[in-house]
Amino acid sequence: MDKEVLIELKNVSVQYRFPTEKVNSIKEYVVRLFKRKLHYRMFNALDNISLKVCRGESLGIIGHNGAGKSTLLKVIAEILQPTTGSVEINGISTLLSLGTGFDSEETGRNNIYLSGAYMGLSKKQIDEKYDEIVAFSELGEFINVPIKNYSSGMRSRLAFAIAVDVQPDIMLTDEVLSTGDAAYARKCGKKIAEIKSKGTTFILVSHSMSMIRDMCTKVLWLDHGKMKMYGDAAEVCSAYEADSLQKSKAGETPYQKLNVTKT
Amino acid sequence: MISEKKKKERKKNFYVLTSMVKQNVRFKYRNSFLGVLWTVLRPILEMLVLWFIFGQFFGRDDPTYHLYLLSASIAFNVLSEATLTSLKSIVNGTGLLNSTKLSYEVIPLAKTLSSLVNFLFSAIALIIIMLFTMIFVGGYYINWTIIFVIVWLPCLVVFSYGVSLLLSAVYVFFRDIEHIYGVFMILWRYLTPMFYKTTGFPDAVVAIINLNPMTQYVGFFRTIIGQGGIPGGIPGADQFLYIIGWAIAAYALGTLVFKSLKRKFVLYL
Repeated sequence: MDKEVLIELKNVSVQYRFPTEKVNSIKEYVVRLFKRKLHYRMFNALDNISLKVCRGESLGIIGHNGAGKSTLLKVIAEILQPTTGSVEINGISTLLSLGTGFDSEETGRNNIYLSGAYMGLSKKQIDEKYDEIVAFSELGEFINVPIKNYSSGMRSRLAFAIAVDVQPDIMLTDEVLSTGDAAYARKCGKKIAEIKSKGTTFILVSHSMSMIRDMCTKVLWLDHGKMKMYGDAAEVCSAYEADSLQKSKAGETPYQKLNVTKT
Repeated sequence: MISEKKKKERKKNFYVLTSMVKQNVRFKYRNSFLGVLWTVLRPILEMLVLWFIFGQFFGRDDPTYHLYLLSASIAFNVLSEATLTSLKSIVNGTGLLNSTKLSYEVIPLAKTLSSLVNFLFSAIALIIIMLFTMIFVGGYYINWTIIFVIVWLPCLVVFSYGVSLLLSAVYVFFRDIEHIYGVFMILWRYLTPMFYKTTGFPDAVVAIINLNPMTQYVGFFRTIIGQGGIPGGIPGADQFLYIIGWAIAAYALGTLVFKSLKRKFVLYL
């Protein structure tokens, strides 16, 4: 394969050790220590994931709520270190998820500068892109209003406008595009196609199969942290749809089996 | 290639840091009419209040007792502001830390540096008061020894940063620390000779007070700006050792605890 490999995960596992109940105070901790009631459970959020994504490809991640999709995104964004396994990322990545990374007391304008800084842009670079970002977000006068007064749609508009303007090598999106109105969603779709053609790789977490089918070349189906299926978008999507239809008929819920090992 | 990447990372962290510090300073005076001027005014007003209350007890034979009060309050403020704002900073920064690749240390560091910026503003108040003192109190003048502030200030900031790292990391796991530290801060303040003088105290009490690192930082600062009506002097070697030693100790402990806990932050945030 002569394509440039942007993301390579080898046998990645993420385990959360959580007490059966969260202990948040010293008193509680000591009391439990004496009563020997400090039980921990290992929760396998991700279990032996291996994948490879090359430049220009785009990957969709699907699965039930709590399957580990967002955890996987955080691993790829290098925010979360896996418990075992190796992660190799070549290039700049940005993670776009709803309502995070903004300071809600600050105005949209200041948040553009702050977010830009977090993504690794200098002030000069942001100055150059500022007007474009504001124009794309269509926020107009709202740009000088504190973020706390924004609707969730407006927040995601701003987040998206900033993220696409950075032109990252890898763009990770977590259900962000679902909050915009129809016209804006179309505009986003167009913009995504544009930056995709410039070589940005998209990793998309979504419950919307039509969006995944449209935008992704490959799809990973996660089930309780494990790779259930990985391959061609259309194929995996239909299998997933068939499976969830069958499950809802049988009345099975995803939480019946928790991937937990007792210690 | 690797060094190039590291350089870029460092440059990015620096810009993030300065943006955060600016944001913190802006945030502090948001919606206040006099804004940043308060940083200059507050220590002076505080000084007047303390002077009014304690002046006749401790300041009777000290013509520069007001400087004694002011220097301690702005020095102690570096620590209290840095640590109290850092305490919850990691927890409050959850959204940020969960969405951007940012080293955790940047957040308490930004809080500490914001308190440094505030100190620089309050230093204006100190200089104004020192100039007035020079005019009205015979025998007092601003000595060149004030230059030692370039050793003292970094030490105090590093010390505060170490304590901040420790607190912010522990707070992630045990929220009780907020209340414990709140009470501890009162004790710490009273164990520092902010308004009283230790002359005439029993030896054992003086020994305890001297064990308090803030006693050393406040003491060093007073030595170089002058106290008891006489101008500043050169601090003794032991004073240098104390302020540098405490800074290194706090920094080492802070980073050690922070480093060993930070991998687990994500599980609790």
